[in-house]
Amino acid sequence: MKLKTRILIISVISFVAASLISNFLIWRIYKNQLVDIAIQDTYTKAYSVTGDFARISEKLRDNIDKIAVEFFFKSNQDDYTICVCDNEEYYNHTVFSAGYLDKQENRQFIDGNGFQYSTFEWKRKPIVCIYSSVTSDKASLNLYRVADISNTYSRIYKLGFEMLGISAVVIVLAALFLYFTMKRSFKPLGKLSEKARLIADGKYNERIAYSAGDEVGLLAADFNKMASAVEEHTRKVEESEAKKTMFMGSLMHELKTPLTAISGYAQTLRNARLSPEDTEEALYYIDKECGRLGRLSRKIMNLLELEHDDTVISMENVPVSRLFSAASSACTQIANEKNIVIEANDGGENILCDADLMTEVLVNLIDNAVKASAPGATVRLYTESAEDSLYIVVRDFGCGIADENIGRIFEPFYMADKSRSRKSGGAGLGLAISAAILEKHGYTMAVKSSIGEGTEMRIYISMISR
Amino acid sequence: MQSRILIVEDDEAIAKMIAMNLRVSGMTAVIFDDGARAAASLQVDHDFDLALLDIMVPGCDGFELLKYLKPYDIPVIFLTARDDVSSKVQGLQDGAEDYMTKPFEVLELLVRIEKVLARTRKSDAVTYYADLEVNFGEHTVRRDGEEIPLKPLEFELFSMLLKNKNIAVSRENLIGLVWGVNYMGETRTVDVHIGQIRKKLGLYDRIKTIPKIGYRLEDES
Repeated sequence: MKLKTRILIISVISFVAASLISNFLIWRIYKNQLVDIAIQDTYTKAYSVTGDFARISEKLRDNIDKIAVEFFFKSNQDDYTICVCDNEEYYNHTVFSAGYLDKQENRQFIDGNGFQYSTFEWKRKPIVCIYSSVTSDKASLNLYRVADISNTYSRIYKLGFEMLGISAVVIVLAALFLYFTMKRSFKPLGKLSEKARLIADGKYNERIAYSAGDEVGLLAADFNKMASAVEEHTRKVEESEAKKTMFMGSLMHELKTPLTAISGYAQTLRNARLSPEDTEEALYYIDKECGRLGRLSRKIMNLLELEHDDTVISMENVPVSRLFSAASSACTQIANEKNIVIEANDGGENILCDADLMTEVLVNLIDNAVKASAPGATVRLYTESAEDSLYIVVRDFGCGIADENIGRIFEPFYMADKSRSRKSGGAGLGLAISAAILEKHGYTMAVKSSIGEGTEMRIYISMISR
Repeated sequence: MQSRILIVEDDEAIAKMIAMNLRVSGMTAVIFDDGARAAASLQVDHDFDLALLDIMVPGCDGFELLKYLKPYDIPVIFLTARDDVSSKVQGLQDGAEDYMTKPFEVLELLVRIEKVLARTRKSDAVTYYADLEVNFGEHTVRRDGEEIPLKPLEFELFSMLLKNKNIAVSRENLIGLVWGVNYMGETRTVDVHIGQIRKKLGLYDRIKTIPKIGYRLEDES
């Protein structure tokens, strides 16, 4: 069942119950009062009749008898009073007998003069009886005054029905009001679930335009927040999925070349009749290509390890000079091959880093710089301090990178000059690994390059400790 | 006459591996590791029977190089790590004879080269091996001008070994190449036919049985 319907039904049930209970209680109070008034009314009449009768009986004194009594009541045209003297009914024009009235048990005193009353039902009619007595020296006379109070009761029941009718109208109006109010309040909820379905279907950019300050408004705001988070998360997952797919594609491509060579030479060795020199050459290339595969797999392992969130690096305070000298000496051989000078100048700064990993970053950058440089050129390593940060710069004056390729250089397996990199044993993973290492540190790297003028790789170290 | 093959491949190991196999089976190979240099050299030297092109080579890619090869009617086989259909379609539509993706079987490459050479009729109709004259057009083998009678299957089998001279061909490959891929019989059939060829042509030593692989027709050492 819908929440709206449920709330409506519960509310109507409680309205009905509350109004029934309160109506009943109010009605009972009215009923008692009206009955009291009717009794009082009868009592008043009985009182005056009794008073008149007492005065007459006092005047008559001993002469009081049935005829006098009858005369008195007849002249008063009183058809509702019964007069009994010593169990003999002197006067009775009612349908009741005195004995019947005496048998009514719920008699109660009504005042201090010995008046009593009782109510009972006779032939489905409510009846009130007032009991009084007049005592003289000679005789004691009992008076009964009866009254039919049906009118009072029909008024009471009419009142009850009127109250029920009014309540019913009020309840219907209240239910209608509640229904329309809720319909309005629940409208944004309907929209909410509609949007939720859209989002579930993959339309992650859907949002709800509802900004009231109530709970539904808060829910809508939270819902929008959740939708944004889902969209962001999905985008990230998709991005990383796409990156992974591309990585796998490039990896397969990178693996195919050495595999082709190795399997080709192996097949040749097995199938062809080769001269000793050819055999030697085949074995040499198999070994060389296996080395290439080994380096590739090691680098990929490094990269995957670095990209894994759980990998922790040990940060320590390291002088930049130590990093520079470690990196330059690691690159001495390749620099010497091209007769390239590596100039390193630091300002005596210390940075927080993992020394081995940071050295690897510098080695990768210097390696690229040397590969890009012409023989005899210079590669410069230096620092630039800003207020609370530091730049480590690796600068070459080589061929530079074309603008359209700058965006791709951090992609795994991307090589600006494929055949040259391959010959020098590169797999196109150096910058990807370096970027991953810097990301682990929380540092960033930027590249500035123009064709013919060389390349500047700039590492941004956010906080330096001196 | 030896077939002359142009190889444009930037990976040194693969290029030399192909050249080694071509050389062993009696062809000569010229290697370029740069498309632009290959194109430039074609202006001067274009006496090639076939070109093996890698698509992604520096300088000038394989598709581009096709244009330089067309004027000289040099058939082309693409040899590439790109195995997407669109590259294959483009390569073949642009006029390449065949397309092979890396990694490939060396023997398959040699057979495809042989097929392309046969199709473009640059393969010799007559070949000499030892003292035998083999005529592929007539399907005959002659010694001293006298025909040695061979059954058609025996001739096919012998010519397969001859075309892949110095290279071991497996029994399975021989069945596939001579009898066709649908042949359901035993590989033993090959042994029987090889025995017949050895006897009829007197090549007891030259057709070597290579354990676990198959047979190899060798040059005199």
